[in-house]
Amino acid sequence: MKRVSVDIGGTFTDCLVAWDGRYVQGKSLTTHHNLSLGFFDALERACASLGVARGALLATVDSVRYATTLGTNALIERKGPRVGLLITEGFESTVPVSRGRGYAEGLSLWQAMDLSRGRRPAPIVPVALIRGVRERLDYRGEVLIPLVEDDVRRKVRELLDAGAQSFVVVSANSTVNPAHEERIREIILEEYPSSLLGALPVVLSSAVSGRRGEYVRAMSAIIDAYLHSTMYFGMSALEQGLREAGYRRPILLVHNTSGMAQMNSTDALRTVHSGPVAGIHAGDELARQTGLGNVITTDMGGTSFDIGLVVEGGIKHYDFSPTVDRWLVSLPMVHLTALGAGGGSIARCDPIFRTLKVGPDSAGSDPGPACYGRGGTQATVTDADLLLGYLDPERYANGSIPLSRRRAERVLAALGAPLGLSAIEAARLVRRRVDFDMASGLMGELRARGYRATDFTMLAYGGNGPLHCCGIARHAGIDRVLAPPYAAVFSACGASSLDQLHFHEHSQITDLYNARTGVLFEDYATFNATVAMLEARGHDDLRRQGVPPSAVRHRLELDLRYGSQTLETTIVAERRRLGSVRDVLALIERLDADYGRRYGQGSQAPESGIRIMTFRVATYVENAALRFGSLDAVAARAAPLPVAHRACFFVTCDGPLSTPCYDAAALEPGVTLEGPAIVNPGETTYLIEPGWRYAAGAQGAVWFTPVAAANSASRRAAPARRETT
Amino acid sequence: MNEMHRGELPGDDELKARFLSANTLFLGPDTELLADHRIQARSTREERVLRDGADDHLFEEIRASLQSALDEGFEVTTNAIVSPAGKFGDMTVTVFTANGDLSSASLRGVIGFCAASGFPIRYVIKHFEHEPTVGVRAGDMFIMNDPFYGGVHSPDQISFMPVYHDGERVAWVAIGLHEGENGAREPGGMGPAMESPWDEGIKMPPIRVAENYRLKFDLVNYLQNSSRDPRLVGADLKVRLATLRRVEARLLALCDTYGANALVGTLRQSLEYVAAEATRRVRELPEGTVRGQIFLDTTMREDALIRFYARISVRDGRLVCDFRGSSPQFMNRPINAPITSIRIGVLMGLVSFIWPDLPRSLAILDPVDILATPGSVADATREVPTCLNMQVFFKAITLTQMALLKLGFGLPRHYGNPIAPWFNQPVTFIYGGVTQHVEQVGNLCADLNGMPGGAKWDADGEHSMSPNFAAYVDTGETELVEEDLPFVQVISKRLLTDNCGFGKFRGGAGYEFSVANRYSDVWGFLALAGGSKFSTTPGMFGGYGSPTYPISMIKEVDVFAELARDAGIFRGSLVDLMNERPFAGASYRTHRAALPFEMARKGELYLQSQGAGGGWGDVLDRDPALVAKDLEEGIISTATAQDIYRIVLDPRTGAVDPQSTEAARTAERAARLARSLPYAEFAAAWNRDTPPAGVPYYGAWGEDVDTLYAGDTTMRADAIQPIFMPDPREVRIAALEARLRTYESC
Repeated sequence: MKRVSVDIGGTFTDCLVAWDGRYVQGKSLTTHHNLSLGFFDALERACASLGVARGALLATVDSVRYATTLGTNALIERKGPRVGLLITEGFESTVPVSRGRGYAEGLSLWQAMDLSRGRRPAPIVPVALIRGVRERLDYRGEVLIPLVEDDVRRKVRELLDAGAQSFVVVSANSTVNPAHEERIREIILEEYPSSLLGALPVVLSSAVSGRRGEYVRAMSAIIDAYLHSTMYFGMSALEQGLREAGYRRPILLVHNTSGMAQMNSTDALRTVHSGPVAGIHAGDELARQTGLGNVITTDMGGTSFDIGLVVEGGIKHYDFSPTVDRWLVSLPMVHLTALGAGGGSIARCDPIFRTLKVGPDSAGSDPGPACYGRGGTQATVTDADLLLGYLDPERYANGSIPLSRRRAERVLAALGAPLGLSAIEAARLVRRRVDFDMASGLMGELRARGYRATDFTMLAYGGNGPLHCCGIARHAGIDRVLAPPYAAVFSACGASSLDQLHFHEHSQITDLYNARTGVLFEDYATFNATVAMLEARGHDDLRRQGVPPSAVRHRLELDLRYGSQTLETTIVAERRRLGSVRDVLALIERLDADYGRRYGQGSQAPESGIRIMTFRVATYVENAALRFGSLDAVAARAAPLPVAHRACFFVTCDGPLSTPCYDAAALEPGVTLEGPAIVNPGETTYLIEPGWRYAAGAQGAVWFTPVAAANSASRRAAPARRETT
Repeated sequence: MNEMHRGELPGDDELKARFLSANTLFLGPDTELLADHRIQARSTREERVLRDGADDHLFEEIRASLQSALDEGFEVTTNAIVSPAGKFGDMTVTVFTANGDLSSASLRGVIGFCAASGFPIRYVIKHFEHEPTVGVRAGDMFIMNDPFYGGVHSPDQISFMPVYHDGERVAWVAIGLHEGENGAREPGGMGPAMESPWDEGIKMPPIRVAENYRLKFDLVNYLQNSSRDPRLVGADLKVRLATLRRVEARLLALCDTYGANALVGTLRQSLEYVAAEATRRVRELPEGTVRGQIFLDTTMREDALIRFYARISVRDGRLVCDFRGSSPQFMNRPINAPITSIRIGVLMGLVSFIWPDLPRSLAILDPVDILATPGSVADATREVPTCLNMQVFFKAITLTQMALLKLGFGLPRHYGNPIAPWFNQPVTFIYGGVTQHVEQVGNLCADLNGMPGGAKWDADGEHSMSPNFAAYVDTGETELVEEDLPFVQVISKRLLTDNCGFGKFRGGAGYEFSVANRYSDVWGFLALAGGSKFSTTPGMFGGYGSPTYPISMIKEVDVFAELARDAGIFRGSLVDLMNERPFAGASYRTHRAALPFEMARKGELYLQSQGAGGGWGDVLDRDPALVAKDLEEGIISTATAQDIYRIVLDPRTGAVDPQSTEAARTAERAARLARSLPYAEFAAAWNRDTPPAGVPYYGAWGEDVDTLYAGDTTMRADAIQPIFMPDPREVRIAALEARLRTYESC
C-alpha cells in the first residue's frame, strides 16, 4: 500500500505516509492563512524521513486523503458568500427563531440555562436575505398551495437586489416531494442561466438531507451553501498544487460520517469535524485488527476533551441532528462529544460550595496558561501539571514553549488562598477535579448507550492524553489504557483506513406494528422499493467516482420508534429486503434488544406501536486498510536509566515523591516501568501515576494498567487482548 | 399538650384527638405541611455526618456526579417520553434528602418543579410511611398531580421514588412532567371552560403506582381508562419508572463508591450552602419596598380587570413577597393559583433572571417569605378550579424579577444580566380529537415555548426564544408535528411587525402561527392565553410593554379548497389575512386569547401570535442605526420608526436622516416637558378613590389591601368570598331573548 493521509488541526498539520509496509509521520505547524502550505510541509517531512522525493511519491500513491478544517474555519471566521434563503411563505422566521433553543446550541448547559444572557449567534443568513415563496406541500407531499412562479421570480430578484450571492431553497415537506424545490431551482436557472457570468449556486434542502425537520434541514443547506465556495476554491487550489507536484488521481476528502469521497461528491458540511472523526475511525480499525474489543477514544488537547465510542461488533453511533458550530443541522455524523476540559482549561474558586471548579472556558493558546508567560493570569490545568512536577519546563512541546514555574505557582497560590489552600494543594485539587470531570463525561457517554466503562479499553491521545490518562481511568474504573501507535498523527492514521462511503436517507412513516389495529407490516414491495431507490443513489455516487459496481456494498439502517416517542433508535437490518413476517419480527426484536440495553429491560413499549421513521442506506466500497501489527513487545527489555529525578506531587499521595524521568529510550518495545514515573520523548508527556504500570509495546504503543490489574493478568506483555478478527 | 404517664388515663384532648383521627372522613391535603417551604432541621443522620465539618472537595465530586445523573435522567426522559410537552423539555428530574428537601435538579427543564416536588414526598413520609396499608419501600413509585398536595397544576404529574441503601432511606428521586391529557372536560388537561375542580380530570394525591419496580397493572389500567390517550399514559408511566430506576442506580453507585453517609451529607450540605448564599444575597440588597401590579384582562370566559398585586420588600435580611390585595378567587374560572404555585413563580423569577448562577433548589427560598390572602387568586382554596393557575403565577415571575432588578440595580455586582420582563403568556393551541392515524389525542403545541425575551440593559431582547418558566426548550419542527397530527400550520413561524416592546433596547419580537384542521372529521382547538386586550408584560425604565393581539379565525370556509383553486389569494400573515379578507364568503372573527374548546371543521384557519418581551429605556435614546435595522428586517413599521422612535427617513432613499432625526427627537423631548405636570398635580388629577364604574374590576384599589372589589360589590379581605361568574352562553341567551321580546312586543 502506498498512500498519503493528512489531517489539519488547530495547531499542527499531521501527515502519515504508508509506503509498502512502512508508516512514516510528518508534522508541521498549521498555516491558517493558506492550509496547503502546512499540508505540503508535513508531506515534505514525511518524504524526507522515507528518503523518497515528493514528486516520485505523489506519482505513485493510490490516494491522497485529506481531513480538512477549511470548512470549520470558514464557519468560525464567517468567511462565506451572502446566502439568500427562499422558504415556504409563512416559514420566513423559521431560521431566525431557530426553534427557540438555537441560542444555546454549542454552549455549556450552565450557559444555556442563563436566559438573562442568552443571545443567538450572528446569523449566517440575515433576515434581510430571507423571502417567503408561495407554495405548500402537506406531510404526504401532496400540493396544498401550488407554486406561484411569478412570486418566485419576484423574490429571486429581490434577493439579488439585496446582495445574495447564492441561494438556498427550502420547501416544507420537500423530503417527500422535492418538486417545488426543483422547480424553483429551474426558475432561478431560467432567469440566471449557468452560462451567465456570475451564475449563482442553488442548494436545495431536499438534496442535502432526506430527513423531516424544516429547520435543521434548512440550516444544513445554508451551511453547505455558505461553505461551498470556500471549499471549492480551497480544494481546487490544493488539487492543482498536488497535480503540479505529480499526483494524478482525485483527492479524497474525509467525511464526518467516517467515510470519504472525491471532491465532486462531497458536501461542504460533511467535512466539518472530519479530523476528530477520523481519529475515532483509527480507534475502530485498531480495535478490529488487534482484538482490543470495546474502545473509548479520548483526545485531550489544549481546550477540549473529545470522546468517541467504538463498540465491538460494528455497532455505529451516529448523531442525526448534531450541532455544527452553533447550529443544529440534519446529517448523520459519527457521534463525538467534546467536553470543555484541556490543558488550557481555567480553574476558579466556587465560593458557594467552597471548592474549585475547572473549565469549561479555556485560556486557549493565546494568552494560554499563566506559565506560558504570554499574559495569562488565570490558573489552568497546565499550570497545575507544571507545579506538580509533571512537565519539564524546558522540553514542553519539544522545547518550543518555555514554561515558567514561578508564574504557575503565583496564580495557583492566588486561586487557593480564599479556601486556605497552598499553591500545591490548589494544583492537586485542579488536577483531581479535571480528571474527575473528564472521567464523569466519559462514563456518561457510555451509560447513555447502555455500556459500562469497565468493559472498555481507553485510547488516550492528543497532546495531554498520556499525561492525564491514569487519573481519568482511575476515576472511571477503567483498567486498560492504551496510548495508541502513531498517537501523534492518529487522525491521519484513521484517514488512511477509511472507505468511500455515502449515506442516503428517506423519511417515511411506516407502521411495522399498528397497535390500534393489531396489524403487522405486510407491504414488503413498498419497503423494498424504498431501499432499492436509496441503494441506486449510493450506486450513482460511487459510479461517479469510478468505482466498479461489483465493488459496491450497502448497509441498511432503520430509525425506529415506539408510538409517538421522539426517540428514534437506529438498527442495522440483517436483511436489506423484507419478504415475510419473520423478517419484520427480526427488526422488532433488534429494536427491543437495543432499547432495553440502553433504557432498561421492561422499558420497551411495543404495545404503543412501532414505526419506521427513516430509511438510511450506507453505500460504500471497502478499501485496503492500514495494517496495524501486533501491539505486543517481542520481548521484555530492561528499563533505561532515568535522565533525571523530580519531586512530583500526586493526588493519591500526601507528600512529594521522587519521580524518575525518562526520555524516548523508554518507548522501546518491551520496556516496563512502575509509577511514579515520567516519560518525555518530546512531543508529549507520559505520566505513570503511583499504582500504575507502563508497558511499551510495538509501533510506539504504550499500555497503562493499574499494578494490581497487571499483576492479576499473569504478567502479560500487553493486557486484555482478544483474538484478531 | 397532655403528657401521658404510665398507668395514667388519657385526658379529654387526647381522647378527642384519637376519636377524630379514627373518624376522619378522608385524608385531604396537609395545609400545615404546604405552608412551610423552608428546609427542615437536620435529621439525626445528617447531623452525625456534618457536625464535625465535611470534605467540601469530596462532596463537590459527589455533587457533580449527582448533577450528571439528573441531567442524564432528563435527556433520557425527553427522548423516550410520549407527552409532547415532555418531548420539548417541560419537565425536571430532581433529587431530595431522605426527609424530602430538594437538593439538586437537572439543569434543563422547568424550575417550577423544584418548588413543587418536595411537598408530596413530605406528605407520603408524614401520612403513608407508617400507615400499614401503604408504607414506603425500595422499588415504590408514587405519582400525583393535585396542586393542593404540592403539585404545579393538574396536567403536570410528579412521580417519585425512595432510595434505600442497606435498608435505610438515603434519598428520594423524582420527575415532574407536563403530561397534558388527563381526562379533563377539555382535551389536553387544561382549558378555559373548566368551571369546577371536578372538570379538571383525574386528580391524584400521592398514590403508589409501582411496587418492587413494577407498575401495578390495575392502577395503570385505571389511569389509562381515565384519559383520552391511554397510549400516552401507559408508555409514559414506563418511561418514568425506567428513569427513576436509572437515577436510583446512580445514587446507589455513589453510596458504594463514597459511602452512604457521604451521599447523605452532600445532599444536605448542598441545600444548606445554597440557602446560606441566597440569604447572603438578600442581605446584599438595600432595604426597601417595590410595588408592582399586573392586570389579567380575562377570566378566560369574559373580559375583566383582575388585579395581581405585589409588594416586595427587603426587611431584616429577608425578602418578603406580599401578594395581598390581589383579586378574590373565582368559583368557576380556572385561573386561581394555590399559594404553592405562587411560590413557584417567585422561585422562577429569582432563578431565571436574578440569580441564574445558583443551583436549582428550593433552598433559594429559605430567606423568602410569601404572603397572600387565603381565598384570593394568589392563595386559592380547594373548592375552585386551578388548572390555568399560570395566568397568575407567570405574573409572579415577572413581578419578582422586576422588583429584584429595581432593588438591586445600583449594586456593583449583578449575578444575572439586567433584563426587562420576559413575555409571560402561554400562547399556543391545545388540540383534541382523532388523528389521521385514527388515534385519539389531546395535548398542546410547542409554540408555547416561543416566548420572546425582554430587552437587556445593554442589548436588544431575543425574538421568540424560550418560555419564561424554563430555558433551552424547543418549539419543534412543523413537519414533524404535521406527520403526527391532522392539522396544517400554513403559517409556521413569522415574526409579526411592530410586535416588540419598544425602547432604547427593544424587547424580542414574537412570531405568528396558524393551525387548520385538514384530515380529521373530529378535531378541535382551544387556547388559554390572556393579555390580548391589556398587556401583561411591561417594559423597564421607560421601555414599552408587549403589544396585544387577539386570536383570529377564518371560519365557514375550507381554505385548502380555496387555495387549491387560486394560490394567489394566500397571505402569509394574520394581519393581511384579516385585513384583506381574501377568502370570499368566509367568516372573519377575532376572539380574546382564551378560547374554550371548539370543533374545527376542515379548512378553518385559527391564527395567533406570541407577544413580545418588554423594552428597556427611552425610545428616544435608541440608536437610529438599530431602528433602521429593525425597519429593514420588518420588525417595525415605518410608522413606528417615525412616530415612536422619532426617526426621520430620507423619502428618496429610505435611509435615516441623522440631522433631522436629532431635531425631531429634540422637539419630542420639549413636547414631553410641555405635556408634563409636577407629580403632586398629576396624582391629584389622575387618582380616583374607587375603580371606574362599569369596569369589571377585581382586587384591591390602591394600597388598601383590606378592601377587595369584585365587580359591582366589595368585600373585606378577612371575609373574602369566591366570585361566581354567570355562564357567558346563558348571558348571551338572556340578551338575545331580551332582544327577541323587544321585537315580539313591537
